[in-house]
Amino acid sequence: MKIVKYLILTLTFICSAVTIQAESYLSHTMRTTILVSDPEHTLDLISSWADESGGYYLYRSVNRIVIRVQSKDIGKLRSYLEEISEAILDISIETEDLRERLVALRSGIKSREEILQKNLSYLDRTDVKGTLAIEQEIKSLLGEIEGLKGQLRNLEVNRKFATGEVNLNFMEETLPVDITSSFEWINSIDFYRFIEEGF
Amino acid sequence: MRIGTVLLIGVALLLLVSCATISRINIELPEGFAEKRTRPVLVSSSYMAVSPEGMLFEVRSVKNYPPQGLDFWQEALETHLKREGYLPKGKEVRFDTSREEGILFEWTMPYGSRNYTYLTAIIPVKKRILVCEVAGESSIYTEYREEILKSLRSISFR
Repeated sequence: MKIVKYLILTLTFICSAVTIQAESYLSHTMRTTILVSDPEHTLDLISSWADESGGYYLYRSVNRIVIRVQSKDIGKLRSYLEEISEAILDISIETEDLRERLVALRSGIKSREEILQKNLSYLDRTDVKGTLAIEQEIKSLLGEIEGLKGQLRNLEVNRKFATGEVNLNFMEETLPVDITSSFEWINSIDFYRFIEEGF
Repeated sequence: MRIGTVLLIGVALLLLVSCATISRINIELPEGFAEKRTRPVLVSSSYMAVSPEGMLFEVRSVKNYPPQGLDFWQEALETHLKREGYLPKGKEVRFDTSREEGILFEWTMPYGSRNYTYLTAIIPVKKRILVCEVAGESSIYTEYREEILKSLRSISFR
């Protein structure tokens, strides 16, 4: 009997977790600066990782990349960056609850659509001057509704996809120091000597 | 006259013996590279080639002193370059030539405003160590990497 009770409790907990996951209204943004040896290669790795995780990249430059990944994968992004970088220099994760903004946008759209319907119904009962005024109002309402719908779509995308902004720092901005080895031939191994004497 | 002839023959013999005893590096040129001779071919114990983009490839032989094997020199070279601040690009790669085993390291180096890749490879061959160095801008290096590895595997020393 006790086992059944625990099973039910566990199942309830799992179901709640699934519901919370499915109904998540959180938007995550991770900003980080990582230390890398080869920025170009690292950028390729990050954009490939985003693709493979069902995401995409928004922006890429020589030392910065912005990617969108499914919200559930934002923790995995951190682990992946730890794996491919020399070190994570700085990291911050912002989480925003979008519920309030979503509700405000939805109600804004709804109220404007209601006004739009009312205005449309007035069209048949007005003269030319009134029709022109109502048309102007309808045009303005349609513009507002489209704008709000755009914002709503953007928030829905933010609910589904987290944003990862990754800045890359190249480690070796200072030249390697010259240390003498006990083995003579090893002292002859020097990148700068090689590249400058080679020509 | 006779003394002169004897001397001439002696010098010629000496030269022949010298050439026969000087060890030479045999290597297949990496595809796309042009050989760059820095010394007369008969006495060459180094080999240099250059790609059209200016990527350098050099193999030379140094004395294996104190006489040690690959593991020892791998550790000595890696430790030294890391202490100097060289940044490894991936893990070291062991490779086989026809007779010996070698190891290569790739390093990422800043040069001007660009990233370069610097390859250092060693192949201990009895009393000598073959040392190979390659350097080029990272994107160009990547294009030639397979050819360079193929060339390294073709090295022999006699």
